[in-house]
Amino acid sequence: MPLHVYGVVAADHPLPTLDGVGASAPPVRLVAHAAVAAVVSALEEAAELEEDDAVRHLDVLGELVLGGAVLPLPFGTVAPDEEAVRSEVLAPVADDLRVRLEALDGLVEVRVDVALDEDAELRAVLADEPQLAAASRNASGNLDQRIRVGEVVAARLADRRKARVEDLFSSLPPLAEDAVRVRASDPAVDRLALLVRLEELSQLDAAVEELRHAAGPDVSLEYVGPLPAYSFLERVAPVAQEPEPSSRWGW
Amino acid sequence: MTVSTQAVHRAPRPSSLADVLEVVLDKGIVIDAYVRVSLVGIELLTIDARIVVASVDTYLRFAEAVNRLDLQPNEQVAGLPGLMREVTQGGAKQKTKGALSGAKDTVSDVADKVTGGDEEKQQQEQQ
Repeated sequence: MPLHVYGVVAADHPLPTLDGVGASAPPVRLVAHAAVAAVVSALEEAAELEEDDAVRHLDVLGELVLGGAVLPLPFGTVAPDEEAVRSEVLAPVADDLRVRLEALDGLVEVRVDVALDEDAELRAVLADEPQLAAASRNASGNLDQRIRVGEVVAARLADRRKARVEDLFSSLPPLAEDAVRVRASDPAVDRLALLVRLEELSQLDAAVEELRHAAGPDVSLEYVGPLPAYSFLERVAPVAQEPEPSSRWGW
Repeated sequence: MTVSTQAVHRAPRPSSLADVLEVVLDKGIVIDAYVRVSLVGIELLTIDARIVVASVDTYLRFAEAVNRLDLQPNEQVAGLPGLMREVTQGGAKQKTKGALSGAKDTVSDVADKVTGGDEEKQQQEQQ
């Protein structure tokens, strides 16, 4: 029976009742080996996974991370059976998995996305440099000059955005264990991933709310989490082993 | 325990499917040689399909938007949404297509490529 594998947790990780991916919503369960366990659910033989299943997959991980560290696997990872999960997924690197779980113990990832209002930004650029409007008027009919004006405007917008976003994000990393800028699929969005202790999350929540109010209506802010520490999987605890070089695992 | 007086707007997962897919498909620990089941109906291309392009077309649209804002300072400019999506961000990795091969092209290089190429398009632009 094929098993969809969501991630890896400690063998004694508390397991809530959760529905897994696939039309039949099978129960999510653990397959343990030594001190670690794979989080799995049954998958029909010829199953095809769809977008709803990707969302379900992330929801399962989001629920699990409330109970402790989770090392996530990419959506759609399938093992042929339970024995393969033990012998091919867990056994070869059980110690390494355990060490990585310990490094992320009690930690979750949250993400802050900001996007600036396009219209407001352009008005601000023109307010700073009214000569751009004049240049644009003078350039009508002249292709080369219009391109030049547009290029200058684009550069101004990029500079403004960079400075504004750095300013907006600056108050958050001091409240977290770690922070990193992450690329967003939407190029208009700037994203910050933060690694924070689950029990200190409310502190960060308050800071983000503060930021949302301070930023004003021209900034849209999306705040997501808790997630497994997708952006911090390389994190090592103070005394950590290096992974086996001949392992089939990639990080 | 203190009671929060502000509503906390933290969502358990991203609101857009593209963001969810970006998280669950691209990231995580990987088992070499494990083949993933086919993902039906999921446009994997959408993850990388948002290409940030510094193109002549973008610059011309900015110039046009500047003109319209100049004439109607307090009104919404039609067509403005989406312009910001094409603003390049310093340091971001980009793929480029069309007239420009990279940020190092000078404006005159760009103009040459445009005028040397599609005459019809150039005529349309000069309205």
